[in-house]
Amino acid sequence: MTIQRFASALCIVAPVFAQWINYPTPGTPRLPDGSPNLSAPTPRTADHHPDLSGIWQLEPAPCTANAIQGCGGDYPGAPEFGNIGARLSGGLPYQSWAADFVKNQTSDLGKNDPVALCKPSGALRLLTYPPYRKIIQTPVVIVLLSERDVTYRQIFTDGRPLPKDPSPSWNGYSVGQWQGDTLVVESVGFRDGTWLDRRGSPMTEAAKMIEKFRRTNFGNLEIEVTVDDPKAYTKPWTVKLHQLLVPDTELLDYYCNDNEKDAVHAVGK
Amino acid sequence: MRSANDLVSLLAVTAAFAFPIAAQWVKYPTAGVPRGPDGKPNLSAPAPRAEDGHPNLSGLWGAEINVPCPPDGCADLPLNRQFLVIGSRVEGGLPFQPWAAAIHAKRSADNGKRTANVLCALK
Repeated sequence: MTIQRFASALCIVAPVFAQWINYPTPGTPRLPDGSPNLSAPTPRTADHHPDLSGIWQLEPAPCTANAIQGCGGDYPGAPEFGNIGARLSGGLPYQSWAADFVKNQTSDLGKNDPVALCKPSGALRLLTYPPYRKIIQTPVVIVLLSERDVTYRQIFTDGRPLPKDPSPSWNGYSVGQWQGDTLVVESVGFRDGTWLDRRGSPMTEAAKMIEKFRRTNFGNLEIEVTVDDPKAYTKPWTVKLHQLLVPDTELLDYYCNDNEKDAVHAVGK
Repeated sequence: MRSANDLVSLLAVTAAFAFPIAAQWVKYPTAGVPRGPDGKPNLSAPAPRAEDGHPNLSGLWGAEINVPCPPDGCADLPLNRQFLVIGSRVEGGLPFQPWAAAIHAKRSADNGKRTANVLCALK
């Protein structure tokens, strides 16, 4: 195992393979052989909006030896987990201090990553973290449950405005509205010091985030995320996160801090 | 009257809630809540029902507060007795196995200092 791989694996210390539950998800269209038909049409709720409910996984990329760039050394992951701007031409438009910060954290093998220290990961990383996330949709609120640390995030769709001068929080404050078949979510109120990826791309409390959720069919969910954080970036940037439905299973208990013994071994460079 | 032991336990328990609270509650009227003439939520109104006819359990709930605060006020969150003692309303207390009774007695004597949520961990 390379040093990089080891350092990254520290943040993902849950036993994985033995615990998946194989229970058929109700309402899943199926092929003649009983397997889920992930190409079936997008399901809809009683109020006729696309139903985003389900367990989702960010489309994984082939694993590589370099954990900062790709696979987590344990779970299969997507490049955006290592570098949220991995697929952006030219990378993220860091302010100079942010570029220095990322350079230092990357050379230190991410040992100060809040996730590696069992701290909250923040709203955006809940969408890129290798463990699954579950969306539960109601007419007035959409809840995102994250397997990682059994965390939740709420997106209110009851028409409330964003709070003014909110107390900073890890997941921020989110409101959403439907524009056709796309759920547009605005979020503010993030904490300074949030990391957006393993390399340390920062988010400050000045950040505003807009997400556009679009379930293109039964098995695919596109989330377009725009981050406008002038304290950390010279201009807004947008990434697309392709989530795949994970049917016939369920979230598991995964508390990073449960019997955690690895952080003391993360010595960096 | 609360014993000194209870007060120490209360202190240990409140250490588990060491986050700023008052500033973060959002005061936004919950949609669909029946209200009285004064605009206050009518908590005696009938239970709401979901589209499928079942009672709708949705909402933000808090355990009944029934542990009195000290004369100078609660140090942090007000508490429910069952948070401190889950069997407080069970006549005769919980039917512990001997080993469980022993560990319960030891933890109580220790004022709950090794309670998992006081340590912010799952030990």
